[in-house]
Amino acid sequence: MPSLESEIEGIIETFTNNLKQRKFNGSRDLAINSVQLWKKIIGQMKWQNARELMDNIKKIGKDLAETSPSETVIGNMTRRMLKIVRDEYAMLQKGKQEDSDLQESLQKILTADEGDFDYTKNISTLKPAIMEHIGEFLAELESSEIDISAQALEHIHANEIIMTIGYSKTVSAFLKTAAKNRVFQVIVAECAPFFHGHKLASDLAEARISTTLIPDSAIFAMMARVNKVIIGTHSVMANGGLKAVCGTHTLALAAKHYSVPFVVCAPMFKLCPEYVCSLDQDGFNQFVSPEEVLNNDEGKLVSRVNVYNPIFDYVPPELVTLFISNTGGNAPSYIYRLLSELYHPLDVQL
Amino acid sequence: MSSNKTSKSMSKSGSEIVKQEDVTLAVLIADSFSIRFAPVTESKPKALLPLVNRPMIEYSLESLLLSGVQKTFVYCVAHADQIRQYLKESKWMRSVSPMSIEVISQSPDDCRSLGDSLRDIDGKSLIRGDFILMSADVVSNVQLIPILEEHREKKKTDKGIVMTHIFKRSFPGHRSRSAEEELVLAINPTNGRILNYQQTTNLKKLSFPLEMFKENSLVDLHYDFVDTHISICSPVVLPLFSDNFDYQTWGDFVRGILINEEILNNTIYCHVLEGSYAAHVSNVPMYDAVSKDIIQRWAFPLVPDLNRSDKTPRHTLSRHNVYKQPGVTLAKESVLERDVAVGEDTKIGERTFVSQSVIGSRCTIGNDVHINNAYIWDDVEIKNKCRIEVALIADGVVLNEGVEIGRGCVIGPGVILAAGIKIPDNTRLMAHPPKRDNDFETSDEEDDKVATTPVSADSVAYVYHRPIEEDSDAESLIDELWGLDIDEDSESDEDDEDEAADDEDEEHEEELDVGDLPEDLNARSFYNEVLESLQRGYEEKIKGDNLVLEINSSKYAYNVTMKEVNMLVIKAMLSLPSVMTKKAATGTNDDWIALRPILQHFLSVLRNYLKNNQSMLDSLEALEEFGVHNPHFVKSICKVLHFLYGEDVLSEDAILEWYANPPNDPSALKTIRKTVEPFITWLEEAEEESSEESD
Repeated sequence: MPSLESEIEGIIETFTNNLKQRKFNGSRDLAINSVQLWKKIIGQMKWQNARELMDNIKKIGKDLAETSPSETVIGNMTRRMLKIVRDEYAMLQKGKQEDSDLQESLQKILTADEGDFDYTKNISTLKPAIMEHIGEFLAELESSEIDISAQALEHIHANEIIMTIGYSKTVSAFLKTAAKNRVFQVIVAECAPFFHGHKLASDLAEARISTTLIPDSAIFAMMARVNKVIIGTHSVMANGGLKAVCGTHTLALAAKHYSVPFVVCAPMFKLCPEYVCSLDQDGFNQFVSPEEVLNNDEGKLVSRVNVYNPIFDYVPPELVTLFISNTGGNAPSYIYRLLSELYHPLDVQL
Repeated sequence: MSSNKTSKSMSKSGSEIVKQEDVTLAVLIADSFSIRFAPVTESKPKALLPLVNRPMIEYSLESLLLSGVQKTFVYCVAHADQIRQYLKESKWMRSVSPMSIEVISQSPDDCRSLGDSLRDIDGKSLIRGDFILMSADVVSNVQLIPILEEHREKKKTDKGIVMTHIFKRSFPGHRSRSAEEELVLAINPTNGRILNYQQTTNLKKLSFPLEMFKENSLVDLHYDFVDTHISICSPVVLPLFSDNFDYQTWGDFVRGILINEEILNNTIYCHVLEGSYAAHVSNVPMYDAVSKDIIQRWAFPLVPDLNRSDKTPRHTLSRHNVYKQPGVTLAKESVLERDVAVGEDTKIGERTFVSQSVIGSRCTIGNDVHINNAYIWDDVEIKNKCRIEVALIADGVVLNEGVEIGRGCVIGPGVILAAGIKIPDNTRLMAHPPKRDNDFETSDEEDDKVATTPVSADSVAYVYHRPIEEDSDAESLIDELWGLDIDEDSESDEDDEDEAADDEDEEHEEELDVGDLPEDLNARSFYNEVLESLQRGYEEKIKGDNLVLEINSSKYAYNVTMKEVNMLVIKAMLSLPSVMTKKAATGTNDDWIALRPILQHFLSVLRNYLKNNQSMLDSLEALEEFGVHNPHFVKSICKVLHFLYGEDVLSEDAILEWYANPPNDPSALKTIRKTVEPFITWLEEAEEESSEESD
């Protein structure tokens, strides 16, 4: 990126470095941080027109996504930025006539053509408009957790038994909000080999929710008594499937067997316009050190076995009953529609 | 916390000098001061050798960066300009890099060990606070900052703390246990203080000082530790190295600190890693082990699919740990079985089988090739039907059709092998005949005849012989055992060691045999020095007194005992004829004819050293040892004894006392003792006569 000033390069370097050092606390934190990064970049970068800006965003975004291929949030945020630039440009170009037609129809989306705009016109008011839009988007991100947990009472009823797996901030907030008005029980699967479930269980217990921690192997046995499964996810794929922590597929299959509703709390920024092409391919899964599964101390054993430690499971959309996003509840089959509203079809491929 | 600092120091980069106290410092030693990777390291520094398609130094810098280190001094010695150039072009030297890097280079003549480099750093007074000391061939995902904090915490209670060294637990049989670096550590389990440190590579028996158990109510003895070559040092470490110029390695330092513990009150602590990975690429088998650990993702996040630089694109990961960079072409029916990494634009031919291997960029691999457990670097061309099993193949090698490479081979850069050649196990090849002008003349001359002829007429390949290493112990040949399949050597570890010992003996016979070369590497270096001095002294007819001065100064430099001096001087003198005539002596009288003028010349030197009875006994012992290892010399022993006796160098009493005591080596009984028998009887008779006369 020699064309960009070194200051921007510095901001990006700090961001990728923080990313590598795992300084971000959860995917919402990452989303907020990357949008703030974009805000800085767009604010400081020199550009003449929207076309140039979009090209630069694409270039930097591609580079950022490469540093951590399994963090789909980074790619999503890049696409959102592009969408914001496109929207603002269109708005200013067409003037008021667009205002009346904010909710685009399916027909319009499908026939959207790059030919409509060439984005080369120099509009002086474009930059402040974009910055304002990004500011609104940041506010939306920050309130997404509260927006989701505000819907808790619609889904959790008195004396229900809820099952969840691993640790998710969104789920934790969701359950705690419900616990203010309702009495219910939670069963937490511990989610080996990382045992993040332990943390959630102690969090919930502290909030005076009656909580039971179970090993992953007991999921099926306990499922018969469960009224609802509520989980978080790493991201939602384009077909409505989930990329969620390892063990979620087991949970989803057990829920299906007992016809227990399987509810996923996923804020909008987790919606990802990518499809799963292969389960072990790069980009989908992430394999980490086998240390948690097999201790590296072990003598000859280490060189004689192959240990794989994936951190994600793919859950097909037919196992998911409902998505709860910050804008409301949606069925998996509706994800494609949400996606087309969130991202411009031309930006799907970065 | 550290991220804030990083961004601050970064945004004002360069112009502002950051206060050292606030900055986490690391010193990276980009040289291992060994020739384990020769001949590959002759033209390229070890730090830049590719490890799973990425220069080794990248891993150590990345480890430091991930730990949150803010400033790193890279200290390079061999091929320093190449490392400097590499870093200059890399992302590390860019102004926006969150970790700033300063390269310090030193010529290899002034810096021959870790000790020298630390003394040099001390001389430059760059460091005032605690720092992380690491070797550039370390791969680790350890978070070092908490360990640094722990070190600082201990400093509050123990003012004498000089170092916290990091160990990883690996039980025997683990692939990352380097046979060269087996160690036993005695620690105090309550605070992790190191009480005793011993290298056990060649030992069957260990002894510990009694005081250790008296002074500490709890002592843990550990054989399950592996040295990670990462330590957290207090600034006092540098002056300690400067004050004790005989500290060459980390081991010397630890032993020195422990011996002087009571006087200086310095202490060393150890930190044992829990759940994180660290390993040190010390030799070729370790290179193999660490590569496998990276491919099998033990070193996460230092794995090929997450690391990329401006020059090397990311690998993509597919099932069974197969990593591919963009542009890889796989022909039909080719198989990448498991644990394979393939570099950019590499072509793999039909029906070719690859397993547990790394293949570099721009390689062309033909049809029906079998590659297992091999490390192939960039731009290598492998024609059809080659077989490679457990080997390291450096840049630009060409293997023509049907070449078979045996286990444990190392093929140097640019080697070309003609069609159909079979390379035997454990061979090291290089593209040019060995140079004469290196430091290891003593052994090279022996090898010249063999080495100057290529492996075959159409090949560009010469066998590389490992010189007597100045900086390694006798056990270095263990790494020649690379490639022994684990399933094959189902014998116990003890057998392994025996095997190593056998190998070593053979090697010594091929080269110049001077008897038991001392285990201690100081003594070994001392011996080489003495041999050089004597050779020069004889050729240039230098006066004995000056030679004595020279030898004495070497003695102090290498810190060897008087007994060793006596023995080694004798051995060096005896081996001088064969060194100078460049061929092993043929026995009979030739030996003596060559030796006599030498001994004559060095009489004054000998008289200087052999003053009392004990020193004479030492020299006789050396003579005998030399005879045991050089059977052809036995015939001359009697003459040497007679000559030395005649010149009053050896006293009658000493010779008789030596003869009366049983020899150390029973095999000496048959040969040497028998040959000298006539001389002894003659001596005894003479004595009787003289005593009779005096009566």
